[in-house]
Amino acid sequence: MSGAAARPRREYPGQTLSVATRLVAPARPPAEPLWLCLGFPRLPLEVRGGCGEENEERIVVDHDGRVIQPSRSAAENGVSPGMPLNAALALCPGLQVLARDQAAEEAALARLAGWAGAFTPLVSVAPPAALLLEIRGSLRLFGGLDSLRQRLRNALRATAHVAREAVAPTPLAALWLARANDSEAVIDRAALAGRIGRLRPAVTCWPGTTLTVLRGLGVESLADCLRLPRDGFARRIGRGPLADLDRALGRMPDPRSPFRAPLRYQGALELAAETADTARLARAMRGLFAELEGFLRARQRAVSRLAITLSHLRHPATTLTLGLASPGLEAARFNMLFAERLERLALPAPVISIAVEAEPGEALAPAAAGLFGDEPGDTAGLQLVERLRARLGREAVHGLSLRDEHRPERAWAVAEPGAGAYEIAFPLMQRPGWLLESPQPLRMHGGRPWFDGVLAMESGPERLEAGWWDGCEIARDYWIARTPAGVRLWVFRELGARGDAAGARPWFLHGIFG
Amino acid sequence: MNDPLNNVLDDPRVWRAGRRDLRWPTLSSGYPRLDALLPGGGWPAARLTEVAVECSGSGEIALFMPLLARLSRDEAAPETGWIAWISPPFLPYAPALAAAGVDLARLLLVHAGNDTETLWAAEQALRSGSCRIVMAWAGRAEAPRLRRLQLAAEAGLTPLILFRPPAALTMPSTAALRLSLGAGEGEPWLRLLKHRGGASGALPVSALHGR
Repeated sequence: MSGAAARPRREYPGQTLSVATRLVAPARPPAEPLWLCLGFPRLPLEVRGGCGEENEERIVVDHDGRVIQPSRSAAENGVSPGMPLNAALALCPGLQVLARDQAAEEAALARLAGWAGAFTPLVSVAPPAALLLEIRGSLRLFGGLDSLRQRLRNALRATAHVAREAVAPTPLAALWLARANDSEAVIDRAALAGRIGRLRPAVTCWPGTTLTVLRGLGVESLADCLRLPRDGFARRIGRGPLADLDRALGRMPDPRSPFRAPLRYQGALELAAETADTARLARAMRGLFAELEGFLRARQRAVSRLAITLSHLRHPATTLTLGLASPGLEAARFNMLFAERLERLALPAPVISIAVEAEPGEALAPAAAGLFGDEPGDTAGLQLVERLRARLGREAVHGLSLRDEHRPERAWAVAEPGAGAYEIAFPLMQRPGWLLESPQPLRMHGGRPWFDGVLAMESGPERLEAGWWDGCEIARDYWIARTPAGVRLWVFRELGARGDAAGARPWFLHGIFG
Repeated sequence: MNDPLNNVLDDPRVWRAGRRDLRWPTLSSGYPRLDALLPGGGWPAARLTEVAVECSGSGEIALFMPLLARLSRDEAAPETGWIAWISPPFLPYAPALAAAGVDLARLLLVHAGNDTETLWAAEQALRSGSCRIVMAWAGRAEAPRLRRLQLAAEAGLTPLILFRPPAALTMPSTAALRLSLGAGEGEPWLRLLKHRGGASGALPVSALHGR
């Protein structure tokens, strides 16, 4: 009776406290939004050749032959944006010239917007090369701004995109700060004017004529713009730039339309030069898989198969399907499976572009690692199956199950690994550990079966007659036989078989007692 | 006491002649007579064991059957851990395994096309830590590969039984234990070929399970 009373009562101090504070704390005013801008300054080059190959001299040019973006090593040779192609070629004769692909840039930006959904529900695309993330609501989940930015940077590194980020209370200010590569966060709206003021007018991307007029007025920074009288600024420069300044400072609303992610992930990447180098392909694919992981995380979904297309010049594309033993979303897992698959793949020709497609399947099971996160689930076991199958093929890895059948060759079946647990009564008669795929006829010596010597019959016969109902009838007498070396074999003789010339019916070997 | 010297002598990589105590845990084979013969009283629990099989049917499955049955029905973690068979020469016959008490749901059969793939699959299985035992059948295996497998077995805390043709055992290896199953007087004999610490021994296979 005193047992329950003697037990110390469990206290939940944290819980009580939080209830108390919730009761005491006054209703908070709606939090001001906080915007994080991700700018992708290298996007034109990145979509035309994958990343990480900045050491090669290449440029992206627009349709009238002006340099849009040089690679790092081309820039070191003096090639700069805006330069005519001829001048660039004169500076750098071995230059690889790539045409700008704006559609691919847009697609890449849309994919990145889908990826960024893992960090906040509100992502907005700011063409041509930036994303705006409203992060106020995510700060608590990620443990503060610094930790969120760190997570974001790490995740970005995996996608292999170069990005600049900036944080400000208004989207336009964040965008301008990102363009100026000023990554120090502005949290307070009051500090906004001072921080924006330091920027050069060029970060606004106003038309060239406007910027020229501003230069003519001696305007060096946005602070100078803000000092000009409003009506004069509007008359000389235009209402548009004035409104931009007001939006950046939060004096005017700046609604942004949220990005709506597609239902399935479709990523494609063109390689700058065709390659058959598997390491390079795996590296290029890594970025797409990282994007896919963000896409799936944003939706809290997992996939169980990925369709991969490797395109070749003048050859039909190679398509692969990566099957996962259990649904997953980790890019590391996709990378590993793809690398295994690639290693065994004979490419008909070098690859010029890669593409990944995935349909998010089942919702992510949050309790994959057990209810309390400490139970060792069988994920390692399933991952082993997946890894072996990726390299050896699906059929090469399986389990076994019993079937309720008298015919020995049908008393077992191939099963999915881990699924063979049916409680079926197995024969009480002794069965061999090894079964031959199909019975082998035994040689005869003087009317007796021979296998490394004359066989001595040890026990039998066990008569098995079955299968008359499905046309695969058997009628056999099974014996356990022993070779002179002591190996025990499972042999049989057909009941209805006719004998050979000497009148002996043929013997077959069906199993070995291992 | 000379501590540095003892440290060296206690290193499991140092083999001291005439010492019977073992540095690795063992798993009982389920056959008392075999346990008495094996160093440490059983199969090495996280080491490479090589078995040379002269011809299939010398009792190579029966030798491990009690161990497989016990490992497959581990009550502590009922739904995890494979009993991996990698490139067996014939089909392991499910009714015989079930009759011996092996839980078929834990079986994982891998048909790797050749020796290289077999050894690769064995290494993956060991390193994944998701197998209770790995059995693999391989012909050619270079000493560095065997060493990798030995390390993988130690890292994954998983026993590896590697079945080899008898000729392969003339090559050196890092296996903790080597034994052969081969012809004797009218029946297969099991012979201990190499093991660290302990006399060599031999036993007719029929003596194990009284047949």
